[in-house]
Amino acid sequence: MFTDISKKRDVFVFWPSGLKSWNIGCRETAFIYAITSAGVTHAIARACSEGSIESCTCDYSHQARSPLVSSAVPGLRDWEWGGCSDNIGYGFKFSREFVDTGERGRNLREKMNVHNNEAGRAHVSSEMRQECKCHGMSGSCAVKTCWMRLPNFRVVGDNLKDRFDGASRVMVSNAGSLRGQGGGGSGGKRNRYAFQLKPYNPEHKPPGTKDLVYYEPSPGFCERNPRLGIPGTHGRQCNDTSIGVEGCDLMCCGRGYRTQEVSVIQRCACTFHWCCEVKCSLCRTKQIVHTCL
Amino acid sequence: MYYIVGFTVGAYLCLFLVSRLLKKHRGPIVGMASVAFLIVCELCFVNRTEWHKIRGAQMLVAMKVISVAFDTDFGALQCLPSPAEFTGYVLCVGTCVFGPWVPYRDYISIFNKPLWVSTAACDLYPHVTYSFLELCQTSLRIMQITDRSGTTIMHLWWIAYRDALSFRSSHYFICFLSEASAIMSGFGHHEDEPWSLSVARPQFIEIPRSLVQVVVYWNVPMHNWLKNYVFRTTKPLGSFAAILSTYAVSSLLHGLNFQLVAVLLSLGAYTYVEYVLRQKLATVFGACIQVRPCRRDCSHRNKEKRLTVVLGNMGLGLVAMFHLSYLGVMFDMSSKLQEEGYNYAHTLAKWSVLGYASHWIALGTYIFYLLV
Repeated sequence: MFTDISKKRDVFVFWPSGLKSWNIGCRETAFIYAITSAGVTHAIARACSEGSIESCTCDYSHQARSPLVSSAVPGLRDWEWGGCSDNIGYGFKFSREFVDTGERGRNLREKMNVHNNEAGRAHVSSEMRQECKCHGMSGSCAVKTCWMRLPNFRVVGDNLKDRFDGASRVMVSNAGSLRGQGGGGSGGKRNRYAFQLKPYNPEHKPPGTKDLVYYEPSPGFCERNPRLGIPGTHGRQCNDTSIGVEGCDLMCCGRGYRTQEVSVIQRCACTFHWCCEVKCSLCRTKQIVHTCL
Repeated sequence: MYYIVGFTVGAYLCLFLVSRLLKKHRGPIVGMASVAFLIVCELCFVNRTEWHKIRGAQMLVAMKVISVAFDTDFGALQCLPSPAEFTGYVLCVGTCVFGPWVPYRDYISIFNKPLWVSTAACDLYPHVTYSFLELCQTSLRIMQITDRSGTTIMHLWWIAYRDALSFRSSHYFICFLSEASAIMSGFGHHEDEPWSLSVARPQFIEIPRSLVQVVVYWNVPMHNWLKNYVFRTTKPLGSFAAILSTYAVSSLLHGLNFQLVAVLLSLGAYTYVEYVLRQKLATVFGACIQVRPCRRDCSHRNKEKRLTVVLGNMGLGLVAMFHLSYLGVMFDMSSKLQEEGYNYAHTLAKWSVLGYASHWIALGTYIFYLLV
């Protein structure tokens, strides 16, 4: 799928067709776009350095280059002896071409999508860390080789979740204004990233590069809504000890919940046999299950 | 850098004074003074990260200084070198940073026939060095990819082997780099043969015949140094004392680092046990399964090429590989520790995860030797 970028428009079948709530420009949509874009960047950058993709290699740009050349991620150090850094530059480039296809930035929704995609990518690149290995006589540190490593994707996901909680709402009548110097629509690809959205509440500061933006309030997820593809929370399983979103108080939207005891067949008493298989037997256990009314 | 130069100057003064006043025992006195200097510097004066960077170079200076002292004792050097010659030897560019230890006479001989022309063989070595670096990095990455989480015994030992292998690859890189720099400075010239200076030979370490071979080929010049200046000097005290003192001197030169001392002393014990056990088995079975390959004219019934002997050697080699993984497991990439030197808690933590298996097996081997 990734070997030929020119065929990207034909294979852009990203969205699960059952989920229609992405039609609304709400917070959840913002998160979906951001995390997808971050996922593509992360996966491609990692795959490049693992050698799974023919058209890209490790990122050797950190090794002893002229200080005037700018890198994809500002503020990273250069060094003399380098290992195989994860190729975030290629991941960025690919993600921009692949995920931002079709978002020409002409209306607010497209601008919002582009902004959220950029936010996802920015989170991946800002969490990159340097790892080093020492070489020397008997483990001393006479020479160090260093490389840049992508963060664990869970860290990126957690950061995006925090941004989701603090997402900025932007004005609907916003056509957006171009950042920096105005106008001159030469219509090149670069221009679709150069805009600034105005916040809904004029006293709030404008959203930054890493903030998620939305312009419509979220639909209620409590009741079923076939038009938007929302299944509702009637009959959903919940956790009665948690106070978070999966807890019964929030999940059931105040309707209350039903407690039942069900018997479940599970694998148990698993043992390892040399060599090399695991044999389990099936046990019937009783479990307590809470479901929303 | 000041510490290295200061060490050189101090050592020369010490050597000079001892020569003037005592005219004998220069070797042991200079040896003890060097070790004392290293320990005092490490404990009192130098920041840990800085010391860890120059640890190797300091060790080389100590080895060179002690070798000159002993050579004048043995009579291999007629008279003490002049300050210029001494400084040139100790701080020689090609062998100062990583460089292998070279005896003083080799250093003098590069001036006899100045060959500052790079030969074809000379050009080969930098390529070997860099290809080794790439190989090491690639093998590191491959091994990181296979890092699935799991806590089974097999997985733990696989991780141990991987970490130990990455440590050994880093060591080979440094050794080949040192070989290249030494050859480019003019060492390693042999008549009618291509230039070569053997520092580390990975093929004898990765597929070992025995731990003794690993220890020899880990760093051939250092092995020669230890053999000539420590082992031979302490041999009159008995072979066990000689081996123990060899490893003790090696640990002292490496500095006050619990991890290295633990590894070296464990290695000392393992090699001793392995040597005596295989000697005994060789006599009992009349087979060529000693720690070193037999010479062609050995008196054993079963020579090297017989299938049983080959299998026996392979089995004992696998035990050696197992010990190597265990000993190398703690040189991992926990970043702060690797820049300062790994400490006592880290070492014991890593070994306890593996259940101190290697130590128990060595103990068992020793008991087996006593019973056979």
